[in-house]
Amino acid sequence: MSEVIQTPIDITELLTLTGRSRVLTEKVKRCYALVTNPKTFEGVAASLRGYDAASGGWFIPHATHARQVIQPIIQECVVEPLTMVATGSDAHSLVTLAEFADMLGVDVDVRAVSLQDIIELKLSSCLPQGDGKKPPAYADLVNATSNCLREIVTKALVTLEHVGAAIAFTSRRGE
Amino acid sequence: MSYELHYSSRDALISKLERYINGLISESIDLRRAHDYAVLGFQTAVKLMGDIEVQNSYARYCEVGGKLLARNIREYTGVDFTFTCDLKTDLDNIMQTYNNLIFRKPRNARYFAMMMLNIIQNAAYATQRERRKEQEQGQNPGEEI
Repeated sequence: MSEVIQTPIDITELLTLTGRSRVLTEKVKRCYALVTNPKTFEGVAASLRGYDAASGGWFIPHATHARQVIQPIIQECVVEPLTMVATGSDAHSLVTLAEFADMLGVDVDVRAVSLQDIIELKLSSCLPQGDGKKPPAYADLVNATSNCLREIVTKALVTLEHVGAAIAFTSRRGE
Repeated sequence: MSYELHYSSRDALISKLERYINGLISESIDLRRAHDYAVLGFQTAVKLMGDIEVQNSYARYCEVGGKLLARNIREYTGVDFTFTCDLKTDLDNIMQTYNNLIFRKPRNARYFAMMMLNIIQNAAYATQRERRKEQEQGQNPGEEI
């Protein structure tokens, strides 16, 4: 019962459910396109290939550079939209964050951490950590970074879908 | 301190609890809404908790079934809950456990709330059955039920 259920995303349904906010809809649409487009992950690989180990990169943990590469997408597709629907420290916002963290397998009490902390904890567990002695295995780093990005963004979209459903139900009942 | 609820009040509270439990069970209700149902369910349970008949019924139910219920709760939610069989103490512990769980493992918290409210509801239901039994005995004295 406690295992994470990977909900398939239906973009049409997702857009209908989050359709009350045009900004959110545009974000969801763009982010869905991003994580389902192989070119995104080619871009991640290309950015990582440019990693210059010779100039001190060896001593930077692998995850640090991978984080920098995927940070803009995470900011746009996870932080911004989730912040729009989970705006404060009210119970619904906290439950939204808890649902997101739980889906990612991050075991934290969301009253004590922020959305950024949740993402950081996830990145720490899904990106290979460098030991400062040898360069990362390129293929491993690219795979881990791509999978990690896809998982974080997909789970954020599923969370948004659930929040959208909640709004739709509430609205339908006239509450 | 306790009170005795009129049976019609108790029946109304049991129906309310039923509605909140159904909300927790329903797959079409998302976690945010489920949390609202759990909170309202606990408030209703607190009102029932004050009733002496519900307290006694809960104590009997818990003494007989507490171990099995605790095992069931552990298997479904991962929570180790120790029943004291005193409704006031247990409900306090239940609400604390739920509050610690909802912001960490919300789906498990939902199952936990659903199961615990159901246990309290069962205890309250038993008082309805006892009342009916008394009524029937009153109408037909000496008749075996």
